[in-house]
Amino acid sequence: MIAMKFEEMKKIWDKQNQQPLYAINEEALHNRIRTKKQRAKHISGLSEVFIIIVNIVSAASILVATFLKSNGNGDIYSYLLAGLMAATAAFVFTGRLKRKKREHLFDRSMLGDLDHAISNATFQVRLSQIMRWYILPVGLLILLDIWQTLTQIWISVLIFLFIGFIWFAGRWEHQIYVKRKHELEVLRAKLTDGNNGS
Amino acid sequence: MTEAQQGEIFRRWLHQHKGLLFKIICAYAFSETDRDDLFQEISIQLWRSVPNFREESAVSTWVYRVALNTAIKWNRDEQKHQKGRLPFDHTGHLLQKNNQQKDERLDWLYEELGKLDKIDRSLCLLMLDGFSYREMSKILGISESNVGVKIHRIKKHLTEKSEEYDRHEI
Repeated sequence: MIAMKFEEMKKIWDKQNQQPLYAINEEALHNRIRTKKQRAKHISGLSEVFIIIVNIVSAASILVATFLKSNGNGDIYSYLLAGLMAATAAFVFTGRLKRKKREHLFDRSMLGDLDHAISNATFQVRLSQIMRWYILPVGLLILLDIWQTLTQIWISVLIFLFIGFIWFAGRWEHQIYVKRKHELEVLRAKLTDGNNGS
Repeated sequence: MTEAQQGEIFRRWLHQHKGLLFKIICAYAFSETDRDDLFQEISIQLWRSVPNFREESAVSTWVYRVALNTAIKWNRDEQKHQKGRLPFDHTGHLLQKNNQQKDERLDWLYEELGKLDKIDRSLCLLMLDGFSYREMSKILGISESNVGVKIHRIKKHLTEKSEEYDRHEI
């Protein structure tokens, strides 16, 4: 091969315009887009919606059950647990609203797109971190509550192990988001490298 | 905009600009399976972007922007685990390679492109496809002077690599 000047490289590059490298399997593409479109409606923001619903339903159930069972004189742990769950649902809901509002603020350039992706990743990192720490007080309150009512210790041990499992699974999920956010920040830094003079 | 209109515009864009999409896909994905996967992702993002197109730029610039933004964020490992993704054997491969004569220099160019980091790769693609510094600046969201500095560095790098390759061949 003869050493190329950039203009020659461009000529070689432009040859592809006359002969596309691939043919598109349109039927397969159409099927995939249709499937993805249907699923996307369900998946979008699913984890947030799930957290909100689960916490509201759980808080309400605990409150009602405690109130009915003890005629308004239930133990403090149940009320604390219900309050914590309701506060978490409110926190995730307001976070979601704020994030949705910000979505229109990013411009359509690569930098704007990366900023948008970093903003979403930051929210995911924060949410996964909060959810992970959230397991501790919730788990503690559940254990304290069942300790008072249960006589069989093995049920408490099982619940303790289950909470431990959720804690470690949460860590694994959190690390995935942290890694993804870091990758996006590296891309952004690379893109804006030397952009100070603008 | 109705869904039918969106689909119609998407198909038109795909036919008119498939050449530039293939170039981006080949620069960012290196196996047939990955290319299929990236093409699927770009197609979905392009389809979603149709209602947002305000004709403030040429369609080709818009398509390029959507495809590049998707490609630089595309992560091979992550895609494997993503929900809502169909295995390839369900619907067949999306891209079918055309039989044509291979140009050794084009292969070399793609190989060198693949060695650049994702940002430099996108600049190099824009440069090879003849976008002006002003257009590149708008697509990337960085200053024209910064585009100029980066392009100068990439051109120098590619020319040096070409000379190196030439010496190696001899």
